[in-house]
Amino acid sequence: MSKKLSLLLIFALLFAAFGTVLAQDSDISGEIVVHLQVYYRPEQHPAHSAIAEQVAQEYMEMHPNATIELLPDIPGGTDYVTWLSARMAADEAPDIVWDQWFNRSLKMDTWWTALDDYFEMPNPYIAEGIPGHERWADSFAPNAMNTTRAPDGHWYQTALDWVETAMFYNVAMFEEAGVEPDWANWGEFIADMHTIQDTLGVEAFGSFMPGTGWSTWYWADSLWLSVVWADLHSEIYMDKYSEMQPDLDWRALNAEEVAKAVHDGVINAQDPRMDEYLRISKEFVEILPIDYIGITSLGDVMRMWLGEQLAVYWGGSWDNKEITDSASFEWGLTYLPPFTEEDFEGAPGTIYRVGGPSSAGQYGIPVATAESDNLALAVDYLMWMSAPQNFGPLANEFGGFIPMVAGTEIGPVLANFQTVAALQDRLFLDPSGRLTVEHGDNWTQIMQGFFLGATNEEETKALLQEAWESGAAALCEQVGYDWCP
Amino acid sequence: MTQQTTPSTGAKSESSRWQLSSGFVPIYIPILFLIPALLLLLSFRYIPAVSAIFHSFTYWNIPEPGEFIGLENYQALFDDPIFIKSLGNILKYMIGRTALVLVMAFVGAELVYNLTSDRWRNIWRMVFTIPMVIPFTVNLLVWQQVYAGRQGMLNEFLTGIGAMARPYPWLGRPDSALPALIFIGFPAVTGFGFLIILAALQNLSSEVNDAALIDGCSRLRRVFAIDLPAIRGPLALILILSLNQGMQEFAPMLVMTQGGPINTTMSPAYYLYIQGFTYGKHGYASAIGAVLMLMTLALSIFILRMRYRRAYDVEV
Amino acid sequence: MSKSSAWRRDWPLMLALLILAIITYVPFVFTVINSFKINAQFFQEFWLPTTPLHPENYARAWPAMGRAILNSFSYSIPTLILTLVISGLAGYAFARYRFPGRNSLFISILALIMIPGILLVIPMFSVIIALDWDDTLQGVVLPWVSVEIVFGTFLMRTFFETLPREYFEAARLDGANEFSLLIRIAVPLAIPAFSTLAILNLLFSWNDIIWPLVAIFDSERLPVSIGVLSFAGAWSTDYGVTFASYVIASLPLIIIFAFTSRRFMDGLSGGLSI
Repeated sequence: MSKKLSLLLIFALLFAAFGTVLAQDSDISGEIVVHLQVYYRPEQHPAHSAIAEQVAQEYMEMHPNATIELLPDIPGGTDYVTWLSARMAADEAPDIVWDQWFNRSLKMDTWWTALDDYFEMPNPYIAEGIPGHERWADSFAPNAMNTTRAPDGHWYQTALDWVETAMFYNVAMFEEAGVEPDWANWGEFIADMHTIQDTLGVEAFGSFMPGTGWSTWYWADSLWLSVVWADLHSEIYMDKYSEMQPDLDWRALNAEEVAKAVHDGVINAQDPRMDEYLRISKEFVEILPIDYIGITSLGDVMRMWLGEQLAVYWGGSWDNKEITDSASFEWGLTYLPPFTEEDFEGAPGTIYRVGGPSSAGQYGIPVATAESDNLALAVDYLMWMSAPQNFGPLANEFGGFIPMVAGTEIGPVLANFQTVAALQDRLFLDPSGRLTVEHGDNWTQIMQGFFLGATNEEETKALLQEAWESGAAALCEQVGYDWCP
Repeated sequence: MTQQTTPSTGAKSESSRWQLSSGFVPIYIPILFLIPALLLLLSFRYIPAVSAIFHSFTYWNIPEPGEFIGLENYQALFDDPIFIKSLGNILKYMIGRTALVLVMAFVGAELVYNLTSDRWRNIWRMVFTIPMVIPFTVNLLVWQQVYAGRQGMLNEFLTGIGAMARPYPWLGRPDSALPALIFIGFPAVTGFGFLIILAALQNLSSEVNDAALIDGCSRLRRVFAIDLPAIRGPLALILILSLNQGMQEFAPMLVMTQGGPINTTMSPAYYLYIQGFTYGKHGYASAIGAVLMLMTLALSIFILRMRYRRAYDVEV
Repeated sequence: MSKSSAWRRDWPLMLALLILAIITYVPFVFTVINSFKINAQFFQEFWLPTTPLHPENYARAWPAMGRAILNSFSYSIPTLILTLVISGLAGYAFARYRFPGRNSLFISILALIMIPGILLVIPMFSVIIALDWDDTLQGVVLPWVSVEIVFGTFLMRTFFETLPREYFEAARLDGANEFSLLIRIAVPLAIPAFSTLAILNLLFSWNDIIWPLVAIFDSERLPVSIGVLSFAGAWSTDYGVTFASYVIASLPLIIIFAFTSRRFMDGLSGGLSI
């Protein structure tokens, strides 16, 4: 592999030196299958799929010996993990393939090729003067890079785009309840949501919390933890990650940092901060639909809101199109209030943005491809595809995600989300990305027990501490950090 | 052509059976007939099953080969509170679901069987056969909306007639979520069970029924005194198939509750799916599968034992 | 019994059946109603019809579904034929011949019903890859057949055992060999049982999602069970088109059911039992 690597390095240097004209003479060859998730669904989304095809076509014209086969997205979505697992088990996965970053972080080098070394190389397809031309990594957004770094410190994927979230609210409902979509602090916000529940007889705030797996409650949970632990962030940060990202003095925690903080007792469920966490958490679920635990998909929450049974829907940039098309009422965008001293002592006086790289531009290269002759082609195509002139138009035509590659013009999607995008990132990520995916489910189940009254505060805190410790232990077993017991 | 089978011709005495002993035909004949089935089963059932059982003794991080760890997965499994809870859940689900399916299929079949008009009997049979083509996914989508919160159909109905003061989150409470899953697809008449029972009833000789009626036996009494004992065999079959299906159920949990609230609807098969595919612990998942398999087997043997303990009217 | 007295006797039963049927058909009617809505209408009204109707949902669903239906037939028909032939042979062997190990073999086949399907996905896929059968017809069909012949063998054995032995003995005396006994006597008599098995088999192969999703690599070759999800995605779902897809997907089955319902029932009337 090192031989291929150095070979690739030479090619890359050649490109850099002589520009793309020479690329046509390169002998990059082979045949790869590329899975772009929603960016290639020719039957359902012909417009942006055509751009994806054109990008591949141009590449093949440049490299006549290379064949790029685009794989249409897998229908349905929910069985994706089964589909990918079976292919990984048989070394039959596409050569460039989408996966959620937290699932990728679970598999790390058993499934994926570390891209760190390639990120350090120049991307010959990025024009001179644009970040990434000399060092590919410069092309990506630092916070996206920070989030998608696996617990072992490596990068197994690109993070080309971003989802931003915000609250879509029903203007007429707010007016009828006499509520303004603008709150000075958490307390005001909660009071207004109760006003909506009491005066209109509709559900107030749209979020949900199924028994396992991802939900928008995950977002809320990550915010409440971030808010209560914000003051300790510099103690939790580990030097090695801070050094890697010198330009970020506030960033989300890597899984290793969470694990180590638990191990060192810096974060501890018995800490008084967790009393605030539990209180905020409980206040939050009281403004949710009565069956927030029985809802299993975000689409169902959006449907409640579009059906005017719900005043506020917490969704994201990907919903923009559907809501613009289907809402039969006037709506606006707002966001959660800051947490101030009025809410609890030591509150950070702000709220964080829930956004992340959980979008379609997350591409990795399976280990099986790295062991085949197609690695050079796969890496090269990834470089080509992620160059701003290629990825930008694709992402903007789809319009659900915000392209994060330096040098891309950001389409109208982001305009609506400006206020949220200006906020700082969360300190803690979603439960599934915090330590391990299993830890996320464990955390969810404990909090369900608390919300439903099966456990009281003390029991809940004991269980949460256990969950933290077992999550940290699982990571230690998997990665084996030097500080592990 | 075969409808005339009456209980007397089917009695289980070896002398009256029509099979020829192997002495009459060369042994290779039955083997020849069985070879295609055995080859396929070997390739796609036995070998994968053995592979799964083997992997239940390993730490299996695909695509790497499993690493043998003895009984560790099984030890961890029986210390796993979620797995233990899922066993209790599936027991309740299985019993509830089977009772519902069995009772409703029997009620539906009796209603159709008792019609005097042949034409209507056929029409109703058809009416309850066609919904078998509705994919289960669509059923789940509809029932999700039946159980939904404030605007759910069930809540609107119950608050509308004044049976309840406030809507209830059926899928969102530990006490009601599992029963709600059991009642999905109510009235559950349609399906294989209904057809088997109806066919078995139509097989009963009408003379016996008429005689019973003439003797002043009420229709309802006849159902319990004659019909029910006579269709014990088909009932046992549906019982086994339905318990078996219940034991392996995971689609309703996946779609409706994802195991919540607080794992009250977690089923072993869904837990297997999560452990294997979501957490990537395929060895552990295989151990869940092996335990599940053993339990289903034990249950089926138990039912067969019960069925044949006091069997005097065995047809097969 | 006169017509009116029959009616007098039957009406309570008919009423009860009617109520059961109405509830049973709710999902069915719901699917059809919603197949004529666009998303905005579906969000506003979940249960009832809305105007204007949007029949163009069917036009949008059709290109993917038409292809998917053809694909499904290309998998389901070979599956059906092989399942019938192999279950028939095996069921006949178990019913008609006594050979050493017969019962234990039968039980070890029947025990395969107990295997949770999801457990075998990865091991089965490994077999397919080892045979180099990825993305082939047999890679989809043969694993399906192996699932279906378990119950099929049981059903066919049960059926063949109800056939009177005299039929066979007479033909044997006429000098027919074992194979022609099967073809000339057993198979014609077993047509109803075969049609029962065929319908159950079709229902299974038409609706199975996981295996074709895993075993088929070429998205142009996906069957209806996955085709119906073409317009349902993680990021957005086109509900009307999805419901139209469900309607289109079920039409071939409904037509087949309507034409074979009688035979299907006859197959069960031998008394399926255990």
